Amino acid sequence: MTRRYALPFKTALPADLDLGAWHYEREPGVPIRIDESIAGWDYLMQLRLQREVAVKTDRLRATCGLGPESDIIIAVTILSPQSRYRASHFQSGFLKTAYSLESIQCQVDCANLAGSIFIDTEVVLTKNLGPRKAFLAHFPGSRLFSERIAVELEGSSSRMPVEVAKFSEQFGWLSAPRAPWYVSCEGGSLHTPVMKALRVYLNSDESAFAEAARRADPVIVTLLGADATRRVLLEALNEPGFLDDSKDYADGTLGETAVRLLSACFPGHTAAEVKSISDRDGAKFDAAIQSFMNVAPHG
Amino acid sequence: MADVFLFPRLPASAARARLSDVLGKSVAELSRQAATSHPEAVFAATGGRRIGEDLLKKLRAALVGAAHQLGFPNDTRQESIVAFDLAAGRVLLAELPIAPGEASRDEFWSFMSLVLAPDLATWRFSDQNERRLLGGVRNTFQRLWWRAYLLCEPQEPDPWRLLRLPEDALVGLMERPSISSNPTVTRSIARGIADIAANVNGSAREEAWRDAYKRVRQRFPLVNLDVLPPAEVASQIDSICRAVMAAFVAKH
Repeated sequence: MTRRYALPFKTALPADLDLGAWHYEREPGVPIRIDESIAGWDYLMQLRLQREVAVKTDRLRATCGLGPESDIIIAVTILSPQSRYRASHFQSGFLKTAYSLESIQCQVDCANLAGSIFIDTEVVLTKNLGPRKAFLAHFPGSRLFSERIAVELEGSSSRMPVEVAKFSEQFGWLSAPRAPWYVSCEGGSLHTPVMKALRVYLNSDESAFAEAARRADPVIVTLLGADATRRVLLEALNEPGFLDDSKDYADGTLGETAVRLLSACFPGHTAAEVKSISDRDGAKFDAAIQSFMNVAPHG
Repeated sequence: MADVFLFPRLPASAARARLSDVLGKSVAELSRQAATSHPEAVFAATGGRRIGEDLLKKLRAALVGAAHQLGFPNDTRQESIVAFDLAAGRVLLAELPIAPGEASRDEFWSFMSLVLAPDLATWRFSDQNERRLLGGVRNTFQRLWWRAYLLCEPQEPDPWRLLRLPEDALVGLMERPSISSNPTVTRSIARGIADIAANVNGSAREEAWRDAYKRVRQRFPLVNLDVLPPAEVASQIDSICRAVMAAFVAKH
């Protein structure tokens, strides 16, 4: 996964490093390559991770404009947004030689994790004793290189969190036993991870629709996507903090998703303007969302 | 490895149904309804052992005891019910042997607020707003456990100092998990916010710590604070908060 923003200082190029694949071990000495998920995860697992990283140190320093007096290390950070976990799990010694090969091994107590994790491999500046110059990193901790992989721990990864329920029994409070679907957006806060807050429930009593959704029928996907988009935007537009366009939301949160959807569905409009549209003319609001969903890639 | 306990989870549909039973009931009636189990509660299939009902009873007793000391159920003064937050946070951290992975399950906190202690949740939030009763970042007990877990400083003479920050400041910090996931970093930020609260007056305070949170959040993509020693983390956060204070003192 590549970074979506530019940093105000020179950073390393992908060619400055060679990154081996991540592996995990169920049994000692038997590494399994990590794809998108880790099978059989539960709280009792001690997740042992490993990879090889080679850094062309001299070349990386040159790319970043850093002299030999700067201290740089390789660091691995593991994040589990759903369980609010973030911690450093590996730090190399200072990279001094022209070429540094690190064999990274780290272990995570899975009782701290839930949902999915991100594993960040970074080259970090810990100290820069050289003169402070424009466009050169100087803060301790500056991220000279970052690479992130996402790993699903529970269930299979999907674009939209979808569950099946019998509305007549499990959703009696909804008083809509024949609704084909229901979109729930309950995070309590726009800083909640969107995959935790958003749920699309398919009614098992409406089997034809549920089956078409499971097959990812394009029309069904468009309908569900439009409704999910509408729910996320309405949730955000009801928050005063969202309307002041502060855009202070981390990646993967409801707020960040709402910002992107707002920009995509209502280009050139502020949040306050879109709120006004949704209040004055709900049909126009819905049509704009449907128009966006109809041209967005499906699947 | 310490035992990992699995806690009862009330699925969304069952939580909604239970919510409609709770709404409109008095604290006294909800005290009679409080229970340590629910027929629709489920547990994770693997990964630990189920918590016993004895421990849930002990937890409820400790929470009720803490509330009684503050006038529960008859005293509904704001200062009493707000004081419950700190007291309940201390009880939850001490008496609830829950791993962070389990604590991230909104369904467990729905169980806490709707089954185990609906009376306390209603005493604390008499409007019975569903966001306080259903699991989520604003759940009555869920927010208190995470605050205690991240902000308690056991090595300090006053381990609970950071939990006495103004409510708005705590909400602003805890509802930004991007900056409040690493305990060392979270505590540094909270200390900086405490300084702001002490030095910026009146209505400008809330604007000041929102500005501080934004500036800290802007630092994160540039700097990995998780790899730095606590003193360096404190230095960077302190520098950000001092800049905010200087700007607000000058402006106001």
